[in-house]
Amino acid sequence: MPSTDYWQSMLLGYLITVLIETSVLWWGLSRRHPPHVRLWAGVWLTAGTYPFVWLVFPALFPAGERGWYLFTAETFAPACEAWMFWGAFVRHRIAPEGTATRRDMLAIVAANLCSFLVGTQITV
Amino acid sequence: MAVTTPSLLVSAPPDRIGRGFAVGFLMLVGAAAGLSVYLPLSVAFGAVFLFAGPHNLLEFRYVLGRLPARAGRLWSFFLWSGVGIVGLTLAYAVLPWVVTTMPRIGLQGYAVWSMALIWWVCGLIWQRSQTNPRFDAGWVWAVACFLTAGVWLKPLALPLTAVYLHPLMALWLLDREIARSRPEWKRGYRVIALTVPLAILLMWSQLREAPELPGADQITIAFGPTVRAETLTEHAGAWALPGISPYFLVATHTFLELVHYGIWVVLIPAIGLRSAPWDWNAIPAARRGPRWSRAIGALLLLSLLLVGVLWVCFGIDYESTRRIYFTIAMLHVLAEIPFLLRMV
Repeated sequence: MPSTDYWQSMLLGYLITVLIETSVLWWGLSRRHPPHVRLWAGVWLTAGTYPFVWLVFPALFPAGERGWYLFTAETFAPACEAWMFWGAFVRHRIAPEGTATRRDMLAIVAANLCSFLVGTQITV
Repeated sequence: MAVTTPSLLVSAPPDRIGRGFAVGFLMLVGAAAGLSVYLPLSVAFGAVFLFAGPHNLLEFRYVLGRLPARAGRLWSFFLWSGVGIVGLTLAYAVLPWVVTTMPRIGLQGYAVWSMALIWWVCGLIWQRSQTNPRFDAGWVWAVACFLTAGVWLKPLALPLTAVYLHPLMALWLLDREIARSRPEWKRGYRVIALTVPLAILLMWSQLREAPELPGADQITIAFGPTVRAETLTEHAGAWALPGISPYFLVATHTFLELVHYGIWVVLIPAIGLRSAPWDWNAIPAARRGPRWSRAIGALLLLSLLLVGVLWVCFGIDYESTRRIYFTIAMLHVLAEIPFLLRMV
Protein backbone atom coordinates (compact mmCIF):
# COMPACT_ATOMS: atom_id res chain seq x y z
CA MET A 1 0.00 0.00 0.00
CA PRO A 2 1.53 3.38 -0.94
CA SER A 3 2.45 5.79 1.83
CA THR A 4 0.42 8.89 2.75
CA ASP A 5 3.07 11.07 1.08
CA TYR A 6 2.64 9.12 -2.12
CA TRP A 7 -1.15 9.64 -2.06
CA GLN A 8 -0.69 13.36 -1.41
CA SER A 9 1.81 13.67 -4.28
CA MET A 10 -0.57 11.75 -6.50
CA LEU A 11 -3.51 14.03 -5.68
CA LEU A 12 -1.44 17.17 -6.21
CA GLY A 13 -0.06 15.75 -9.46
CA TYR A 14 -3.55 14.92 -10.61
CA LEU A 15 -4.80 18.47 -9.99
CA ILE A 16 -1.82 19.99 -11.82
CA THR A 17 -2.25 17.54 -14.72
CA VAL A 18 -5.96 18.38 -14.98
CA LEU A 19 -5.16 22.08 -14.99
CA ILE A 20 -2.59 21.73 -17.78
CA GLU A 21 -4.48 19.22 -19.90
CA THR A 22 -7.82 21.02 -19.63
CA SER A 23 -6.16 24.24 -20.80
CA VAL A 24 -4.64 22.52 -23.82
CA LEU A 25 -7.81 20.59 -24.63
CA TRP A 26 -9.96 23.71 -24.32
CA TRP A 27 -8.02 25.32 -27.16
CA GLY A 28 -6.99 22.19 -29.01
CA LEU A 29 -10.14 20.12 -29.35
CA SER A 30 -12.21 20.77 -32.46
CA ARG A 31 -15.03 23.30 -32.18
CA ARG A 32 -17.65 20.64 -32.85
CA HIS A 33 -17.39 19.71 -29.15
CA PRO A 34 -19.41 22.00 -26.87
CA PRO A 35 -17.56 23.85 -24.06
CA HIS A 36 -18.73 21.48 -21.32
CA VAL A 37 -17.26 18.48 -23.21
CA ARG A 38 -13.92 20.24 -23.65
CA LEU A 39 -13.81 21.09 -19.95
CA TRP A 40 -15.00 17.67 -18.80
CA ALA A 41 -12.51 15.88 -21.08
CA GLY A 42 -9.58 17.28 -19.12
CA VAL A 43 -10.91 16.00 -15.81
CA TRP A 44 -12.30 12.71 -17.00
CA LEU A 45 -9.52 11.48 -19.31
CA THR A 46 -6.89 12.16 -16.66
CA ALA A 47 -9.04 10.47 -14.01
CA GLY A 48 -8.96 7.31 -16.14
CA THR A 49 -5.25 7.08 -16.89
CA TYR A 50 -3.63 8.87 -13.95
CA PRO A 51 -4.20 6.17 -11.30
CA PHE A 52 -3.00 3.59 -13.82
CA VAL A 53 0.25 5.48 -14.43
CA TRP A 54 0.85 6.08 -10.71
CA LEU A 55 -0.22 2.73 -9.29
CA VAL A 56 0.17 0.05 -11.98
CA PHE A 57 3.31 0.96 -13.92
CA PRO A 58 5.55 1.54 -10.86
CA ALA A 59 4.74 -2.03 -9.80
CA LEU A 60 5.70 -3.35 -13.23
CA PHE A 61 8.99 -1.46 -13.58
CA PRO A 62 11.68 -1.72 -10.88
CA ALA A 63 13.23 1.52 -9.62
CA GLY A 64 16.23 1.16 -11.92
CA GLU A 65 14.09 1.15 -15.05
CA ARG A 66 12.75 4.69 -14.84
CA GLY A 67 13.40 5.31 -18.55
CA TRP A 68 11.26 2.36 -19.59
CA TYR A 69 8.63 3.38 -17.05
CA LEU A 70 8.39 6.90 -18.47
CA PHE A 71 8.38 5.66 -22.06
CA THR A 72 5.61 3.12 -21.39
CA ALA A 73 3.51 5.41 -19.22
CA GLU A 74 3.79 8.41 -21.53
CA THR A 75 2.92 6.27 -24.55
CA PHE A 76 0.06 4.54 -22.79
CA ALA A 77 -1.57 7.69 -21.41
CA PRO A 78 -2.13 9.61 -24.70
CA ALA A 79 -3.04 6.44 -26.62
CA CYS A 80 -5.54 5.36 -24.00
CA GLU A 81 -6.98 8.86 -23.60
CA ALA A 82 -7.39 9.22 -27.36
CA TRP A 83 -9.24 5.89 -27.45
CA MET A 84 -11.39 6.85 -24.46
CA PHE A 85 -12.24 10.24 -25.97
CA TRP A 86 -13.14 8.72 -29.32
CA GLY A 87 -15.35 6.10 -27.63
CA ALA A 88 -17.11 8.58 -25.39
CA PHE A 89 -17.45 11.76 -27.43
CA VAL A 90 -16.94 10.97 -31.12
CA ARG A 91 -18.26 7.50 -31.98
CA HIS A 92 -22.05 7.50 -32.51
CA ARG A 93 -22.32 11.01 -31.11
CA ILE A 94 -21.30 13.36 -33.88
CA ALA A 95 -21.06 13.10 -37.64
CA PRO A 96 -17.79 11.48 -38.78
CA GLU A 97 -15.31 14.17 -39.81
CA GLY A 98 -11.74 12.97 -40.38
CA THR A 99 -9.93 16.30 -40.06
CA ALA A 100 -11.69 17.28 -36.83
CA THR A 101 -11.09 13.82 -35.32
CA ARG A 102 -7.37 14.03 -36.17
CA ARG A 103 -7.29 17.46 -34.51
CA ASP A 104 -8.90 15.97 -31.38
CA MET A 105 -6.33 13.19 -31.22
CA LEU A 106 -3.43 15.61 -31.73
CA ALA A 107 -4.84 17.85 -28.99
CA ILE A 108 -4.87 14.91 -26.58
CA VAL A 109 -1.27 13.99 -27.46
CA ALA A 110 -0.24 17.65 -27.04
CA ALA A 111 -2.03 17.88 -23.69
CA ASN A 112 -0.17 14.82 -22.41
CA LEU A 113 3.15 16.11 -23.75
CA CYS A 114 2.65 19.44 -21.97
CA SER A 115 1.74 17.82 -18.67
CA PHE A 116 4.75 15.47 -18.99
CA LEU A 117 7.14 18.36 -19.66
CA VAL A 118 5.77 20.42 -16.77
CA GLY A 119 5.87 17.30 -14.59
CA THR A 120 9.55 16.68 -15.33
CA GLN A 121 10.36 20.32 -14.49
CA ILE A 122 8.52 20.08 -11.17
CA THR A 123 10.22 16.76 -10.33
CA VAL A 124 13.67 18.13 -11.26
CA MET B 1 -40.19 -30.47 -34.56
CA ALA B 2 -40.07 -30.86 -30.80
CA VAL B 3 -43.14 -30.05 -28.76
CA THR B 4 -42.34 -27.71 -25.91
CA THR B 5 -43.78 -28.50 -22.51
CA PRO B 6 -44.93 -25.38 -20.70
CA SER B 7 -44.04 -25.35 -17.03
CA LEU B 8 -46.65 -25.34 -14.26
CA LEU B 9 -46.18 -21.69 -13.47
CA VAL B 10 -46.44 -20.68 -17.09
CA SER B 11 -49.72 -22.51 -17.58
CA ALA B 12 -51.38 -21.03 -14.48
CA PRO B 13 -53.66 -17.95 -14.65
CA PRO B 14 -51.73 -14.65 -14.78
CA ASP B 15 -52.68 -13.31 -11.32
CA ARG B 16 -51.77 -16.59 -9.61
CA ILE B 17 -48.44 -16.70 -11.45
CA GLY B 18 -47.32 -13.43 -9.97
CA ARG B 19 -48.55 -14.28 -6.48
CA GLY B 20 -47.05 -17.78 -6.57
CA PHE B 21 -43.74 -16.46 -7.80
CA ALA B 22 -43.65 -13.71 -5.18
CA VAL B 23 -44.51 -16.12 -2.37
CA GLY B 24 -41.90 -18.58 -3.63
CA PHE B 25 -39.23 -15.89 -3.79
CA LEU B 26 -40.02 -14.54 -0.33
CA MET B 27 -40.04 -18.05 1.13
CA LEU B 28 -36.69 -18.71 -0.48
CA VAL B 29 -35.16 -15.52 0.96
CA GLY B 30 -36.74 -16.04 4.39
CA ALA B 31 -35.74 -19.70 4.66
CA ALA B 32 -32.23 -19.02 3.36
CA ALA B 33 -31.71 -16.20 5.88
CA GLY B 34 -33.09 -18.20 8.81
CA LEU B 35 -31.09 -21.32 8.03
CA SER B 36 -27.90 -19.33 7.41
CA VAL B 37 -28.18 -17.54 10.75
CA TYR B 38 -29.05 -20.54 12.90
CA LEU B 39 -27.28 -23.41 11.10
CA PRO B 40 -24.55 -21.75 9.03
CA LEU B 41 -22.11 -24.67 8.93
CA SER B 42 -24.62 -27.45 8.30
CA VAL B 43 -26.41 -25.48 5.63
CA ALA B 44 -23.21 -24.33 3.92
CA PHE B 45 -21.89 -27.89 3.75
CA GLY B 46 -25.25 -29.39 2.83
CA ALA B 47 -26.20 -26.81 0.22
CA VAL B 48 -22.95 -27.18 -1.72
CA PHE B 49 -23.21 -30.97 -1.47
CA LEU B 50 -26.79 -31.07 -2.75
CA PHE B 51 -27.04 -28.19 -5.20
CA ALA B 52 -23.59 -27.39 -6.58
CA GLY B 53 -23.93 -29.95 -9.37
CA PRO B 54 -27.66 -29.69 -10.16
CA HIS B 55 -27.62 -25.87 -10.29
CA ASN B 56 -24.78 -25.98 -12.80
CA LEU B 57 -26.66 -28.54 -14.88
CA LEU B 58 -29.86 -26.45 -14.89
CA GLU B 59 -27.90 -23.29 -15.60
CA PHE B 60 -26.16 -25.00 -18.51
CA ARG B 61 -29.51 -26.23 -19.84
CA TYR B 62 -31.03 -22.77 -19.53
CA VAL B 63 -28.10 -21.11 -21.30
CA LEU B 64 -28.22 -23.66 -24.12
CA GLY B 65 -31.93 -22.92 -24.55
CA ARG B 66 -31.21 -19.20 -24.85
CA LEU B 67 -28.22 -19.33 -27.16
CA PRO B 68 -28.91 -18.83 -30.86
CA ALA B 69 -28.50 -21.83 -33.17
CA ARG B 70 -25.87 -19.98 -35.17
CA ALA B 71 -23.42 -17.34 -34.00
CA GLY B 72 -23.92 -15.27 -37.16
CA ARG B 73 -22.75 -11.68 -36.66
CA LEU B 74 -22.12 -12.38 -32.98
CA TRP B 75 -19.21 -14.74 -33.66
CA SER B 76 -16.58 -12.24 -32.46
CA PHE B 77 -18.53 -11.75 -29.21
CA PHE B 78 -18.75 -15.52 -28.68
CA LEU B 79 -15.07 -15.98 -29.56
CA TRP B 80 -14.00 -13.25 -27.09
CA SER B 81 -16.30 -14.78 -24.48
CA GLY B 82 -14.94 -18.31 -24.99
CA VAL B 83 -11.29 -17.26 -24.95
CA GLY B 84 -11.84 -15.27 -21.75
CA ILE B 85 -13.87 -17.95 -19.97
CA VAL B 86 -11.37 -20.74 -20.66
CA GLY B 87 -8.23 -18.62 -20.32
CA LEU B 88 -9.23 -16.91 -17.09
CA THR B 89 -10.46 -20.18 -15.54
CA LEU B 90 -7.18 -21.96 -16.34
CA ALA B 91 -5.18 -19.00 -15.06
CA TYR B 92 -7.25 -18.91 -11.86
CA ALA B 93 -6.65 -22.63 -11.32
CA VAL B 94 -2.84 -22.31 -11.60
CA LEU B 95 -2.56 -19.02 -9.68
CA PRO B 96 -2.16 -20.55 -6.19
CA TRP B 97 0.68 -22.71 -7.54
CA VAL B 98 2.30 -19.72 -9.29
CA VAL B 99 2.05 -17.53 -6.19
CA THR B 100 3.60 -20.17 -3.91
CA THR B 101 6.35 -21.43 -6.23
CA MET B 102 7.36 -18.06 -7.70
CA PRO B 103 7.75 -15.64 -4.78
CA ARG B 104 8.97 -12.89 -7.14
CA ILE B 105 5.50 -12.76 -8.68
CA GLY B 106 3.65 -13.13 -5.39
CA LEU B 107 0.26 -11.50 -5.08
CA GLN B 108 0.91 -9.52 -8.27
CA GLY B 109 -0.23 -12.70 -10.03
CA TYR B 110 -3.74 -12.03 -8.69
CA ALA B 111 -3.46 -8.39 -9.80
CA VAL B 112 -2.61 -9.50 -13.35
CA TRP B 113 -5.50 -11.98 -13.31
CA SER B 114 -7.92 -9.34 -12.00
CA MET B 115 -6.69 -6.87 -14.61
CA ALA B 116 -7.28 -9.45 -17.37
CA LEU B 117 -10.77 -10.07 -16.01
CA ILE B 118 -11.60 -6.34 -15.95
CA TRP B 119 -10.41 -5.74 -19.52
CA TRP B 120 -12.14 -8.89 -20.72
CA VAL B 121 -15.45 -7.77 -19.24
CA CYS B 122 -15.00 -4.24 -20.60
CA GLY B 123 -14.23 -5.73 -24.03
CA LEU B 124 -17.47 -7.70 -23.81
CA ILE B 125 -19.45 -4.60 -22.83
CA TRP B 126 -17.87 -2.68 -25.70
CA GLN B 127 -18.73 -5.41 -28.23
CA ARG B 128 -22.21 -5.82 -26.80
CA SER B 129 -22.87 -2.08 -27.16
CA GLN B 130 -22.34 -2.37 -30.91
CA THR B 131 -25.17 -4.87 -31.44
CA ASN B 132 -28.90 -4.36 -31.01
CA PRO B 133 -30.24 -3.07 -28.71
CA ARG B 134 -27.31 -0.63 -28.86
CA PHE B 135 -26.21 1.54 -25.97
CA ASP B 136 -23.48 4.07 -25.28
CA ALA B 137 -20.43 2.31 -23.81
CA GLY B 138 -17.98 5.19 -24.19
CA TRP B 139 -17.41 5.19 -20.42
CA VAL B 140 -16.17 1.60 -20.28
CA TRP B 141 -12.42 2.14 -20.89
CA ALA B 142 -12.12 4.86 -18.27
CA VAL B 143 -13.75 2.50 -15.78
CA ALA B 144 -11.36 -0.27 -16.87
CA CYS B 145 -8.32 1.96 -16.22
CA PHE B 146 -9.67 3.09 -12.87
CA LEU B 147 -10.51 -0.43 -11.66
CA THR B 148 -7.16 -1.75 -12.88
CA ALA B 149 -5.41 0.74 -10.61
CA GLY B 150 -7.62 -0.51 -7.77
CA VAL B 151 -6.75 -4.19 -8.26
CA TRP B 152 -3.03 -3.36 -8.25
CA LEU B 153 -3.52 -1.72 -4.88
CA LYS B 154 -5.49 -4.69 -3.51
CA PRO B 155 -4.73 -7.76 -5.66
CA LEU B 156 -7.07 -10.08 -3.77
CA ALA B 157 -10.02 -7.69 -3.66
CA LEU B 158 -11.63 -8.78 -6.92
CA PRO B 159 -11.50 -12.58 -6.36
CA LEU B 160 -12.93 -11.97 -2.87
CA THR B 161 -15.63 -9.63 -4.19
CA ALA B 162 -16.57 -12.28 -6.76
CA VAL B 163 -17.32 -14.72 -3.92
CA TYR B 164 -20.13 -12.41 -2.78
CA LEU B 165 -21.15 -10.85 -6.08
CA HIS B 166 -21.51 -14.06 -8.04
CA PRO B 167 -24.54 -15.30 -6.08
CA LEU B 168 -26.15 -11.91 -6.69
CA MET B 169 -25.74 -12.31 -10.44
CA ALA B 170 -28.53 -14.89 -10.33
CA LEU B 171 -30.87 -12.13 -9.09
CA TRP B 172 -29.87 -9.98 -12.04
CA LEU B 173 -30.32 -12.86 -14.49
CA LEU B 174 -33.73 -13.56 -13.00
CA ASP B 175 -34.58 -9.88 -13.49
CA ARG B 176 -33.57 -10.12 -17.17
CA GLU B 177 -35.54 -13.33 -17.61
CA ILE B 178 -38.63 -11.72 -16.07
CA ALA B 179 -38.20 -8.64 -18.27
CA ARG B 180 -38.16 -10.92 -21.28
CA SER B 181 -40.78 -13.52 -20.49
CA ARG B 182 -43.00 -11.87 -17.83
CA PRO B 183 -42.55 -8.08 -18.19
CA GLU B 184 -45.67 -7.42 -16.11
CA TRP B 185 -43.85 -8.91 -13.07
CA LYS B 186 -40.77 -6.74 -13.41
CA ARG B 187 -41.74 -3.97 -11.01
CA GLY B 188 -43.06 -6.39 -8.39
CA TYR B 189 -39.93 -8.52 -8.64
CA ARG B 190 -37.66 -5.53 -8.10
CA VAL B 191 -39.60 -4.63 -4.96
CA ILE B 192 -39.40 -8.13 -3.46
CA ALA B 193 -35.72 -8.43 -4.49
CA LEU B 194 -35.04 -5.69 -1.93
CA THR B 195 -35.67 -8.33 0.73
CA VAL B 196 -32.18 -9.70 -0.07
CA PRO B 197 -30.24 -6.60 1.14
CA LEU B 198 -32.81 -6.24 3.92
CA ALA B 199 -32.08 -9.80 5.06
CA ILE B 200 -28.33 -9.07 5.01
CA LEU B 201 -28.91 -5.99 7.17
CA LEU B 202 -30.94 -8.07 9.62
CA MET B 203 -28.19 -10.70 9.67
CA TRP B 204 -25.66 -7.95 10.35
CA SER B 205 -27.73 -6.68 13.26
CA GLN B 206 -27.91 -10.21 14.70
CA LEU B 207 -24.41 -11.45 14.01
CA ARG B 208 -22.07 -8.46 13.94
CA GLU B 209 -20.68 -9.35 17.33
CA ALA B 210 -21.30 -13.08 17.13
CA PRO B 211 -18.58 -15.37 18.52
CA GLU B 212 -16.37 -17.60 16.40
CA LEU B 213 -18.09 -20.37 14.51
CA PRO B 214 -18.13 -23.72 16.28
CA GLY B 215 -15.57 -26.16 14.91
CA ALA B 216 -17.98 -29.03 14.44
CA ASP B 217 -21.69 -29.75 14.29
CA GLN B 218 -23.86 -32.62 13.10
CA ILE B 219 -22.93 -32.37 9.46
CA THR B 220 -19.28 -31.80 10.27
CA ILE B 221 -19.29 -34.89 12.45
CA ALA B 222 -21.17 -36.89 9.80
CA PHE B 223 -18.47 -36.13 7.24
CA GLY B 224 -15.75 -36.98 9.71
CA PRO B 225 -12.24 -35.60 9.42
CA THR B 226 -12.65 -34.43 5.81
CA VAL B 227 -14.60 -31.32 6.80
CA ARG B 228 -13.20 -28.24 8.53
CA ALA B 229 -15.18 -25.17 9.59
CA GLU B 230 -12.09 -23.09 8.72
CA THR B 231 -12.67 -23.97 5.08
CA LEU B 232 -15.86 -21.93 5.16
CA THR B 233 -14.43 -18.97 7.01
CA GLU B 234 -11.48 -18.90 4.58
CA HIS B 235 -13.80 -19.06 1.60
CA ALA B 236 -15.96 -16.27 3.04
CA GLY B 237 -12.85 -14.06 3.22
CA ALA B 238 -12.49 -13.83 7.00
CA TRP B 239 -8.69 -13.64 6.57
CA ALA B 240 -9.07 -10.41 4.57
CA LEU B 241 -11.77 -8.80 6.72
CA PRO B 242 -10.45 -9.14 10.27
CA GLY B 243 -12.79 -6.53 11.73
CA ILE B 244 -15.93 -8.43 10.74
CA SER B 245 -17.37 -11.39 12.59
CA PRO B 246 -16.49 -14.65 10.75
CA TYR B 247 -19.91 -15.94 11.79
CA PHE B 248 -21.57 -13.06 9.90
CA LEU B 249 -19.36 -13.60 6.84
CA VAL B 250 -20.08 -17.32 6.65
CA ALA B 251 -23.80 -16.79 7.26
CA THR B 252 -23.98 -14.07 4.59
CA HIS B 253 -22.13 -16.16 2.06
CA THR B 254 -24.29 -19.18 2.86
CA PHE B 255 -27.43 -17.04 2.53
CA LEU B 256 -26.35 -15.69 -0.85
CA GLU B 257 -25.39 -19.17 -2.07
CA LEU B 258 -28.77 -20.55 -1.01
CA VAL B 259 -30.62 -17.74 -2.83
CA HIS B 260 -28.40 -18.37 -5.86
CA TYR B 261 -29.14 -22.11 -5.83
CA GLY B 262 -32.85 -21.49 -5.26
CA ILE B 263 -33.04 -19.16 -8.22
CA TRP B 264 -31.24 -21.55 -10.56
CA VAL B 265 -32.87 -24.76 -9.36
CA VAL B 266 -36.43 -23.52 -8.82
CA LEU B 267 -37.31 -20.02 -9.99
CA ILE B 268 -35.57 -19.70 -13.35
CA PRO B 269 -36.61 -23.20 -14.52
CA ALA B 270 -40.17 -22.37 -13.41
CA ILE B 271 -40.45 -19.27 -15.55
CA GLY B 272 -37.56 -19.37 -17.99
CA LEU B 273 -37.44 -22.86 -19.45
CA ARG B 274 -39.63 -23.07 -22.52
CA SER B 275 -39.52 -26.87 -22.50
CA ALA B 276 -38.83 -29.71 -20.10
CA PRO B 277 -35.12 -29.79 -19.08
CA TRP B 278 -34.67 -33.25 -20.62
CA ASP B 279 -36.23 -32.22 -23.95
CA TRP B 280 -32.97 -31.21 -25.64
CA ASN B 281 -34.57 -31.08 -29.07
CA ALA B 282 -36.16 -27.80 -27.99
CA ILE B 283 -32.66 -26.26 -27.78
CA PRO B 284 -32.06 -24.05 -30.86
CA ALA B 285 -28.63 -25.55 -31.63
CA ALA B 286 -30.09 -29.09 -31.53
CA ARG B 287 -32.49 -28.14 -34.31
CA ARG B 288 -29.64 -27.56 -36.75
CA GLY B 289 -29.61 -31.24 -37.65
CA PRO B 290 -29.39 -34.82 -36.32
CA ARG B 291 -25.66 -34.55 -35.54
CA TRP B 292 -26.16 -31.38 -33.56
CA SER B 293 -29.11 -32.93 -31.75
CA ARG B 294 -27.03 -35.98 -30.78
CA ALA B 295 -24.11 -33.78 -29.71
CA ILE B 296 -26.31 -31.61 -27.51
CA GLY B 297 -27.95 -34.70 -26.03
CA ALA B 298 -24.54 -36.24 -25.31
CA LEU B 299 -23.36 -33.00 -23.73
CA LEU B 300 -26.35 -32.87 -21.41
CA LEU B 301 -25.96 -36.55 -20.49
CA LEU B 302 -22.29 -35.94 -19.74
CA SER B 303 -23.29 -33.00 -17.54
CA LEU B 304 -25.77 -35.22 -15.71
CA LEU B 305 -23.04 -37.80 -15.20
CA LEU B 306 -20.76 -35.10 -13.79
CA VAL B 307 -23.43 -34.19 -11.25
CA GLY B 308 -23.40 -37.82 -10.07
CA VAL B 309 -19.58 -37.91 -10.02
CA LEU B 310 -19.54 -34.70 -7.98
CA TRP B 311 -21.89 -36.22 -5.39
CA VAL B 312 -19.73 -39.34 -5.12
CA CYS B 313 -16.56 -37.23 -4.76
CA PHE B 314 -18.20 -35.04 -2.11
CA GLY B 315 -19.10 -38.23 -0.24
CA ILE B 316 -15.54 -39.55 -0.42
CA ASP B 317 -13.60 -36.35 0.35
CA TYR B 318 -15.78 -33.31 0.88
CA GLU B 319 -13.04 -30.79 1.56
CA SER B 320 -10.82 -31.58 -1.44
CA THR B 321 -13.82 -31.83 -3.75
CA ARG B 322 -15.15 -28.52 -2.48
CA ARG B 323 -11.81 -26.83 -3.13
CA ILE B 324 -11.56 -28.28 -6.64
CA TYR B 325 -15.20 -27.49 -7.34
CA PHE B 326 -14.90 -23.83 -6.38
CA THR B 327 -11.80 -23.50 -8.56
CA ILE B 328 -13.48 -25.03 -11.59
CA ALA B 329 -16.73 -23.20 -10.76
CA MET B 330 -14.95 -20.03 -11.91
CA LEU B 331 -15.86 -21.29 -15.39
CA HIS B 332 -19.59 -20.85 -14.79
CA VAL B 333 -19.06 -17.59 -12.88
CA LEU B 334 -17.30 -16.16 -15.93
CA ALA B 335 -19.73 -17.73 -18.40
CA GLU B 336 -22.60 -15.87 -16.76
CA ILE B 337 -21.04 -12.50 -17.63
CA PRO B 338 -21.34 -12.62 -21.45
CA PHE B 339 -24.65 -14.39 -21.11
CA LEU B 340 -25.98 -11.65 -18.86
CA LEU B 341 -24.70 -9.00 -21.26
CA ARG B 342 -26.57 -10.62 -24.12
CA MET B 343 -29.74 -10.37 -22.03
CA VAL B 344 -29.29 -6.64 -21.28
